[in-house]
Amino acid sequence: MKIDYSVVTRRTFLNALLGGWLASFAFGSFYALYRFAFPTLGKEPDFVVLKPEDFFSIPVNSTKAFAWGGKVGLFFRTADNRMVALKGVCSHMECNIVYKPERQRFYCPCHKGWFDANGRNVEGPPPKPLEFFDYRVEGGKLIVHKKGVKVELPKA
Amino acid sequence: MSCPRLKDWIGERFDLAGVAAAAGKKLVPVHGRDIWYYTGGIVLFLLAIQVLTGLVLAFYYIPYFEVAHKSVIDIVTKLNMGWFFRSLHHWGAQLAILVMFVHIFATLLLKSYRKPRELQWVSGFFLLGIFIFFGLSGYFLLWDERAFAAVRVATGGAGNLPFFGGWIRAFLRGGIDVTGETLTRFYAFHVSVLPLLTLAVLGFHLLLVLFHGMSVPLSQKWRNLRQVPFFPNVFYRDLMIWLVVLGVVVTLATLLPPDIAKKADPLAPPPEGVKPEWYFLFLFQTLKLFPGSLAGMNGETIAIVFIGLAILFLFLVPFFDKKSSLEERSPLFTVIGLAYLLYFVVMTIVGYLT
Amino acid sequence: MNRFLFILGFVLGPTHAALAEEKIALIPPSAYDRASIYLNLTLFWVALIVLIVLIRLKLREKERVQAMGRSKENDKIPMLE
Repeated sequence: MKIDYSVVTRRTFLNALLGGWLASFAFGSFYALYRFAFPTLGKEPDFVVLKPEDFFSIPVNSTKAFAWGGKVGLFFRTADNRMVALKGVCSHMECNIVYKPERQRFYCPCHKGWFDANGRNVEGPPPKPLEFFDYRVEGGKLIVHKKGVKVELPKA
Repeated sequence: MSCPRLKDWIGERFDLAGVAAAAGKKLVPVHGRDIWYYTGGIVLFLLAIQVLTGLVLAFYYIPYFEVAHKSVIDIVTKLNMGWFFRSLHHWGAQLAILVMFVHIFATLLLKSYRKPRELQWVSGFFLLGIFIFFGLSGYFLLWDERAFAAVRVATGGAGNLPFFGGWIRAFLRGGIDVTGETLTRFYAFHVSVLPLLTLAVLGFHLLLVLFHGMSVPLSQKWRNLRQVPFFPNVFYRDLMIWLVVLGVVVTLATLLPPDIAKKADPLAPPPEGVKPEWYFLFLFQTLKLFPGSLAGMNGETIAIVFIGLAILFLFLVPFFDKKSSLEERSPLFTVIGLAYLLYFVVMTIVGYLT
Repeated sequence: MNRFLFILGFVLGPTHAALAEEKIALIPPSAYDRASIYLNLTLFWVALIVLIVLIRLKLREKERVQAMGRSKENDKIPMLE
């Protein structure tokens, strides 16, 4: 079948082509700029390696901070002398928490949230308990890692 | 000193007399509510102070997380008048946002947003958003423990928005956490992205003011209003008010310099009872009204969606208020405006006192 | 006793920390500098008020001219040389 008159004139075709081409060209160029502007997101670490002598010597009922990526991790010797490692960040608004040995609880000064020594959110706005880590000592190094993550250190 | 030859020289190259005549021909209505119409000019004047003081502060400030805090202390303690101009920049910002809120609520209650000035309202709303972000980013440049905690909470709060939250948080922080990357980003926002945006949106806002002239409130509309030329009558009044504002800012800056807390440490706990800037307090108080979880959903998310909808309604108010657009009185929207104003003032005071 | 210590810790903790830190001088600390700052502030206000009064006088003058039904004074008035 031959159509005598095209619905699309040469002019609208050319306009659509120019407009579309321009739009895709601009989109592509700005998308490249956007990819540059958006940060390359690091990941929260799966594990960190520390020196055991720095952390096993802390007194009962106290904490010591270590860097967990950009956040803070806490080594915590409980009142009944267990050693645990946890993320020292409130589950509410990501403020750093602080241990109050008098009450044997963790406290978030931002919005007055409390967690007990087992990390349960007992008072205030925090919606979730604290996150605990596993740790082990291997070849004179203290490896703190997320629960359920297998860590293979490279053999040096 | 009238320099007729210089005037002629310029006049042959640029139509100065035409501009002067246009300024004199621009008429401004005089009525009982026109005092509120000076608030926009005050914000403009304060913005000029911010630009000038900010330019000079940028000569000395170092946007690197290890030295940023120290460079601010050096500005305050070692440089000529450094303490004064940092304080002036701080108080200029506080007053600019305060007067901007007055400007917005006056526009809301006098219904100056009504047709054909909807775009003025919309662009003004954008300017408020830009100014608040100016405030947050400028506060963070201090890199002290309060600013650090405030930005962690504010960007984390933005992360609670549905759909785009995670994206916005990552874009603002420049990573998954608030770090030195966030500082360089906020510096770029504060000294280049936001000023350019302000220039564009403010230019549009003022162009519309020129195009439409001043709105007359409905209550004053039916009287026979006297009109005075913008130049020199209104302009001279503007100047006098600006000078008073300058005196107030300078006095505040001299008597109440803002303090500087300890350098931020990502591993240290935040200071006790950290509070956001006063213009965030009403949001902060609203968030407190919601429980941690509601009907199985995160309470924060619900609160932020609720606040977002309330702000969206205010943003689109010229399009909802049909009666005003027809130049009829619309008491419903006066009540709504008063409710917004009351909520804002009460929540800010409650937040300040608790 | 424990509770007492806890409360004491809350009361003394912050002040103690503040004392341990070096306080940043937000305004030049010497009495001479302070005095000159307050003097300057006063002078600044005096200058401001004079300026405002002058602008007000000028505005009155413009309004008088406008009330006479003229937007501008005639600049072809013959002047005494």
